[in-house]
Amino acid sequence: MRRVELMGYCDPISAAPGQTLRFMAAAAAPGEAQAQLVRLIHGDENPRGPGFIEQEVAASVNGRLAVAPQFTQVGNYVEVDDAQARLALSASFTLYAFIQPTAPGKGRQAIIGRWNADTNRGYELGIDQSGRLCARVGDGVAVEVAAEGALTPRLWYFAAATFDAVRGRLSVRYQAMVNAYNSQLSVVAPFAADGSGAAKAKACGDAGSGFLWGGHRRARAGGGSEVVALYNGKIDRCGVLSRALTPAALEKIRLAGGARGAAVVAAWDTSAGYTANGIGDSIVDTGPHKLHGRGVNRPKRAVTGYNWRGKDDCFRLDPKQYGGVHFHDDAMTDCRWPVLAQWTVPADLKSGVYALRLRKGAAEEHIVFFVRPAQATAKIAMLMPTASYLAYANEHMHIAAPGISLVTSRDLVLHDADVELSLNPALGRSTYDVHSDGGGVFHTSYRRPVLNMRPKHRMAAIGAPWQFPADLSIVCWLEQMGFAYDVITDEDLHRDGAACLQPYKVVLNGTHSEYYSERMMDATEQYVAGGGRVMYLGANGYYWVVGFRDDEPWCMEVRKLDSGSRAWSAPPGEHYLASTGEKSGLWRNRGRAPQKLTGVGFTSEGMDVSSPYRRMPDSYDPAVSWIFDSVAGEMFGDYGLGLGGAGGLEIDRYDLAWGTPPSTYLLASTENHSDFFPHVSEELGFNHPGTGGTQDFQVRADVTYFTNAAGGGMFSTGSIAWGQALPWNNSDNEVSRITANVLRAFAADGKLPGGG
Amino acid sequence: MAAARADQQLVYYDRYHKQLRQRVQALITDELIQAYRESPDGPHGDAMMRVLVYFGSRYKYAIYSPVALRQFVIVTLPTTPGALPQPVDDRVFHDEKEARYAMFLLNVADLRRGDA
Repeated sequence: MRRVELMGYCDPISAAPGQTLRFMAAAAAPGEAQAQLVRLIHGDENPRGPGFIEQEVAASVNGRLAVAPQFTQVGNYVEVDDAQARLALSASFTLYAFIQPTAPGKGRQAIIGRWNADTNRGYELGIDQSGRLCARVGDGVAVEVAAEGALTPRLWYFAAATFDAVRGRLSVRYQAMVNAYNSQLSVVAPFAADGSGAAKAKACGDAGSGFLWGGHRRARAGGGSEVVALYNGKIDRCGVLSRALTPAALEKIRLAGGARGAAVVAAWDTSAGYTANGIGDSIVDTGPHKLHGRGVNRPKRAVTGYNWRGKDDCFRLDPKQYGGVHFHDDAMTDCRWPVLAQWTVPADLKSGVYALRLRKGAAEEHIVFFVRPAQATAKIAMLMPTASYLAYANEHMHIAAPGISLVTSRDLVLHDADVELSLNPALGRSTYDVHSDGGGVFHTSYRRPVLNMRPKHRMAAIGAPWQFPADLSIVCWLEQMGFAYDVITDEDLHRDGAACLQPYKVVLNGTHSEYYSERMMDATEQYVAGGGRVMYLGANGYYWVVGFRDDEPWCMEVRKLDSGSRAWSAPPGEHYLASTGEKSGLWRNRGRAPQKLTGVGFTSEGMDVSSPYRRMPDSYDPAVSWIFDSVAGEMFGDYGLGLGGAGGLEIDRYDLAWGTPPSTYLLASTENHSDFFPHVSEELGFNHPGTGGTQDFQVRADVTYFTNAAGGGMFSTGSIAWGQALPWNNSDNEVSRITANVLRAFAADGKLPGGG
Repeated sequence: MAAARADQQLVYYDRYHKQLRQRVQALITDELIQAYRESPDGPHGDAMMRVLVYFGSRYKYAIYSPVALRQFVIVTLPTTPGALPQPVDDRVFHDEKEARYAMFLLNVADLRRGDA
């Protein structure tokens, strides 16, 4: 099995002429790579379709570029801004922290401290390799003491370490802080409620490095330093005092939830800084020196704290109960590689899907990005669902994902990218994965190589292209059919709102536009209500609520809650986005079922085989029969690059009860899905047999169409596989003709055919 | 303090799985094997559905495609984090359906051997 030897990313992923892109890359060995700008037309190499198509484009960025291995800091932690080294303690001190470790025993883990692993200088409160709370000091030689008994995973504790330089004594202690809601176990269970330990220790030297939460520094062989001893779990309020406190004084801090008084050097209040719109990465120090901290790689905020009592389920109700900050040793939101090349998009470059192709020996990489126009150049816009690309970015639903074959009902077909993802923590994880401690991945970013946002990628669990490479089948179809179009992205839609869509008569969405921010939803709704026309050429779209922070548009947050087809569920009390303050989960659970916007909504998924459609009686109504011009017969779509049919993979259904506009025409529906297509769980109250494709009429893909008084229109295909049927037989097929009939009508000026 | 005990659900799992394995084994016939070879994507009868769900739950084998759409190798999936899948033998298939059929036969052989 081969490793991926050349990979890169760019920032931003959407740019207009005049804007500058930064490219970053890493190679397994130093050398030169040949860079070539290419326009991507089609990705899927399946010989039954158009195959891989790219067009080389002359550009100033083309040429030879020096590439080399790159270091990536994996794991999230907090760096404290301590320019004056007030936390470089050499005399007596106390450290305290409310903690909930999630993986004690998984190696040494640092909680808080200022420790240099190369010189054994400094101090630290942590967890030893046996899972015991420990403290260490050192002035060239480390002295460590552990409290008796391993910490129990997912219980809250008050932890403290004191160093009495006069008496030469280092001690550590913990006390469980378990209530009925805040921990894995209840108070009825037997567990170690407290523990302590002490040892002789004489001196504490200066680490010479900064104060961190969640790790400590050591030198790297290649220069610079890295953060190691990464912590898994939550840290709530914590602090540092300049004297060794007595057990009685520590008890006062435990009961008060923090330290006050003249001895305080720093007292971080992790519950400070919330607004109605969430919280960022800053950690507030309420002590005298304002030694504020900043999270790296997005430690999770808006999570429950040690004092969470279950009633208030959102930080807006009582931020004081939301002081938790959750760290993971495998979190990664920004590779922070040096810039390989910068390139300003020239004024005459046509809007489209592009990549900087790098080749080095046999290795090839396509760093994908999108060029939008400075001003609209066509009546048609192709909206690339980049928020959904982010959600799936570097998904690990293959090696080490038991159960995935039951979800997809297919044998896994692995490729080198899957092997790389399973071995390379620098690539981070997707929102379909869990962290090493079992917690769901909330954050995903494009500031890293995204190996599945590549034109030739095939998803292991599906056995076909998915997301970006599948959307290239729509792009290829537009090219083959000769439609003039611009390319825009979710990033643009989120930033610019309806103004992003307004210049266009019609907007095509991709095969699986599953993740939507509120701004994206609002903009689309406003566009259609105002006379815009959308062709939703996919399924399971407009499904999850996601959030972006304006200061970091490359990073997306989602929380998967108590319903929906999901890889994990956010813990109780952690259902609101730190990025925006909104409740996450499904849009339908916030009153915005996708049927209300598109006419259809998610009803099933299955990856055994896709199905054809049969026309419904509505399709013969003179008001809409023009959609089927040049389509012979009642059945169509028994072909395609998405598992052999136009109706499959994930499918959507018309349903008045979920808000399908009553004027909607139901034009066609798929038939004969197998029981490997189960009806989605979010629509089931009681579980019962008979919810598979052979017994449940709701397991089908529907093609729908509606218009409104403003001239707006919505055409929905109800199937992810639709887009991959478009270029079949050089785009000469019924699915293509139906889509083209609607697109021509939607792009035309004046009234729609049939009086719509 | 009472010591933590091993996960007792695993004891039940072993008991349940033994019975399930016997029920699935009884469904394997020459006709069913041939039906899978002819049409691995279905449509499937109830017996085949049960067999495929069982094999899917095993999570033992996968296909590795060193050249997409052209070469297929059957591998065993790792049971420890960070380990790589390993080829089960030196066969390289040039048709995905043939590889899937060969994988199906490996699952059947495991089941008949009691190693599944």
